[in-house]
Amino acid sequence: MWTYEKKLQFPVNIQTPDPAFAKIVITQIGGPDGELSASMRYLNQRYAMPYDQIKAMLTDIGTEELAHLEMVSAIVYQLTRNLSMEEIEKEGFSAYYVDHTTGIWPQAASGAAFTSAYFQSKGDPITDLMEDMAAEQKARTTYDNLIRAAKDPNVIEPLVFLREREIVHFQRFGEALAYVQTHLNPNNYYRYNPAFD
Amino acid sequence: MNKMLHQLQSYDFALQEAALFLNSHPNDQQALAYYNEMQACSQELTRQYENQYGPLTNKTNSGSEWDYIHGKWPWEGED
Repeated sequence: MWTYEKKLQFPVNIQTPDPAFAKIVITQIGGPDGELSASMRYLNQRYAMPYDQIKAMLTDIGTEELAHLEMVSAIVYQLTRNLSMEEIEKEGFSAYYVDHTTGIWPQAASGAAFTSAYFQSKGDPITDLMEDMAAEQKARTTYDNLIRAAKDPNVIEPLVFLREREIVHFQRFGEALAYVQTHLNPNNYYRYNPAFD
Repeated sequence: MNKMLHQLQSYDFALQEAALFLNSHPNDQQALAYYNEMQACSQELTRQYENQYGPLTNKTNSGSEWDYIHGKWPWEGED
């Protein structure tokens, strides 16, 4: 089970609103390579994972992704705090505003709604871990793109932290994949599903 | 069936239930007293449970071995 802790994993303290940037950074909440999809990917994959240390890894990284979801939500919240109607219109925030005011709703930068089609849980440890490594790289690329577009150091700092976490998770999943492959039945040349066959 | 685990689940559920009530009734002294009592029970039993069966979280591993990964995971059912 889970327990909530009333703190962010890394501080987010943005003083200057920027609805235009909020519109693109929101993709790390509900976009294809966002934190919600990351968390759901790992927490759902745990059940088919036969190895204890990788069950722990999927649990802990899936949990950390929820903390990242909260950080990105804090970023969007602070970027859209105390906006005037004029700023909303000038910065192109009207389309989001009309549906959600300044509430947080998981969507991609394009406006597409969050969907579980953004991640896979295939019931095959090798397939799943390959997906997880790719997912971490895709999220890292997204943070690269966001950091390039950001100007406020108070926005950049937490994004740099989140980018770094993608790299660390990629590293850990790489180790998990190596572990699975060295524990395969030696006759399983073609890497068939070690959790089912 | 693990009696200690079931007792801990009961204390933690009572704590959660009291917390929900206190969120909407923050000045209810009777509820707060109940919360404090359940909190003490939960903390003490969590300590005992973790000593005997290993850490419940990845922040409470103790000693010279990484025990967190060992033992059944919750979704696998009890022994």
